[in-house]
Amino acid sequence: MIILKNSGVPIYQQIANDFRDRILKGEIEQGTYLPSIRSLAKDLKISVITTMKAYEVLEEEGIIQAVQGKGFYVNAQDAEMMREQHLRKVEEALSEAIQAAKVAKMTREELVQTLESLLDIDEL
Amino acid sequence: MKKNIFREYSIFTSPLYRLVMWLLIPGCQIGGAFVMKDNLDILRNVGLPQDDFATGMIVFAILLPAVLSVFIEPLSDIFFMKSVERKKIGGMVYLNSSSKGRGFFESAVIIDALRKLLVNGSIFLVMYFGLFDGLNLDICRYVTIFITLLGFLCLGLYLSRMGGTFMISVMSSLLLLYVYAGYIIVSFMLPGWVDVLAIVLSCVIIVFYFFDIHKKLERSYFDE
Amino acid sequence: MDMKNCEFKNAIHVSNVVKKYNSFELNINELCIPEGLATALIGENGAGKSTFLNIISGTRLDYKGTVNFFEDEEAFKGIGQDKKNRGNIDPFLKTTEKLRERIGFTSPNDFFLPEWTVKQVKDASKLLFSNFDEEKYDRIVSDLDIPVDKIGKKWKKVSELSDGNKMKLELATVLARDTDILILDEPASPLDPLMRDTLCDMIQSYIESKPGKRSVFFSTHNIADMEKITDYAIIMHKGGVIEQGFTEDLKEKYIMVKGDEKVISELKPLMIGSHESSMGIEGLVLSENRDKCEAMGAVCEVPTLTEISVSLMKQRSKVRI
Repeated sequence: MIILKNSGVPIYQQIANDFRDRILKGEIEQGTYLPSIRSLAKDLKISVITTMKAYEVLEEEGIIQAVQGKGFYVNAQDAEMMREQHLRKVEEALSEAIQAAKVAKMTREELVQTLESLLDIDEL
Repeated sequence: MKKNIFREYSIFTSPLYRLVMWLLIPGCQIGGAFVMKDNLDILRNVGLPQDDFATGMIVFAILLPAVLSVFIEPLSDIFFMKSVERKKIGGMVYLNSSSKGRGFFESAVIIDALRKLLVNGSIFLVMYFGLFDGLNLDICRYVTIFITLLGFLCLGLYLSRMGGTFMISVMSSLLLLYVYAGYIIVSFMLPGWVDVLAIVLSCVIIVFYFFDIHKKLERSYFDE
Repeated sequence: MDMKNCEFKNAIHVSNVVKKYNSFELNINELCIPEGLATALIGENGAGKSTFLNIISGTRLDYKGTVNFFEDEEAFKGIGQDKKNRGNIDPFLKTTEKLRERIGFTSPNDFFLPEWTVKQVKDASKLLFSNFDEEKYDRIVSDLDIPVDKIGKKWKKVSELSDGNKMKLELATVLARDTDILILDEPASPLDPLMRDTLCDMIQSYIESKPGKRSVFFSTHNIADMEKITDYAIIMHKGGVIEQGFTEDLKEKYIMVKGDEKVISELKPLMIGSHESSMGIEGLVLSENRDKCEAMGAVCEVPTLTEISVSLMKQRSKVRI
């Protein structure tokens, strides 16, 4: 895991994002336990509280579940929820593209065209 | 008394300190006294008057190496223990953080205080049987001189402890050495009640000295 | 997220501790140090940090009040400052023996007797603490590269060690014991940058080795070096606590605001310990004022613990340049 200390993105957010990505990609399997709060804090050289906050963010999202005395395990993700999470990512990425297009003063048609041509390349 | 008190003492003091204070200095003092006596015999044979003052002078001269303890003890404390005797000593925090620290310090310092009595007592004993033949020296006077030595010794340690700086320690112990030397010489000419007074005073000082050691580490838990 | 609702127990719970010294007064009504975390004590010189740490480590008894440990399992009680009521302290030492075994305390001054050799330190530790692990001590001493070796026939004296090595030796003696809390007075100050980093590792390993059971409480002037591992921060000024909280919460409570020269007069009243120049102004502001600041065209940032502490101290400090 790569944590940037001066990126402006809070460290707990970076950790939450990283774990979320890996879980959704299936790199971390359902039912497995995440590293314990204190060992992760030690490995990343960050405070225990920061790690706790990252896990709490993921817990609120329903991605992981706390078990008293045992730590946090990855929830079974149902298909609906996985899709929702992915949709959210697509939306995020597209709105970022729209912002960039605005700066570049692209027209609506140009933007749609770019997307379509990218889709064509991907299908090949 | 705790059973590991000697172990505590041996950890608290360095081997060099124990070698010097238990063997080297007492050895030198006894050896020195015998050298003194050899030289004094020559003097006496020349024909000094046999009065109290002369006896006092000769006894003092023979005792001189032993009497130097009044000066040596405060200095050895400064050199070997970095003034453990001093009232406010640094470096007690680790001892204070343990419940056993106080007892540990106390047994070490008390054993060392007992050493002062024991070693000086032994020196006086050896000297009594080896050196004073033919002199007008009765045992009572000798014991009085010994007890007052311990009194002066404890007073010297106590003064050097109050002083704090090296120079004051040296000056105060030198001063006491002179006073004590004067007392030995004059004591042969003084009435008996002075001896009684000296013994009582010395005992008070010795008792006070031990009591003060007992209180020392306790003080380091407080602002004083 | 409000961390205060988290399920932390108290490693230390201080109540009504008062200690006067000339014109200085340490007065802490209530203070809790969470269990299982690293807590930093920050403050100016003379804020009373060392006095406070001496009190909670049991190396100072002339105060009024109580210091409870481990959810009231054990406690230190002050004897008070009146010389007459002191009495014999031996019973006090005896009743706190178990607690003292569980605490590891280091201090930058007067820790070991200076004439002691490193061998004496080890031998004494075995007598002073029943949980002192000799092998572990030797291992830490060699891991930390403390130059304690015998030179010829002579052991090194504590007074011959550099300040940094002295502190490393102190850390070795406390880490070689099976303790539940470390109270470290300025552990980072005498250490070099590399060793400060190692100190952070050691603190985290200690906390991780018995999750939720082992806590570390340290005072520091080197906030920047220790910030990354600090879970809870307590800021002291003139013998009292002026701010405390989990670092993540403090970073949400305050924002660092920077404005240009046009808005100096408007921003200044909102700021805690501001710094102004002809080019503009910057300072700490409560997060609730964020909208006001942004309306003035100022830039807001998440503050570091250093910025929070320095601003709060600056606001009260008598030091003026």
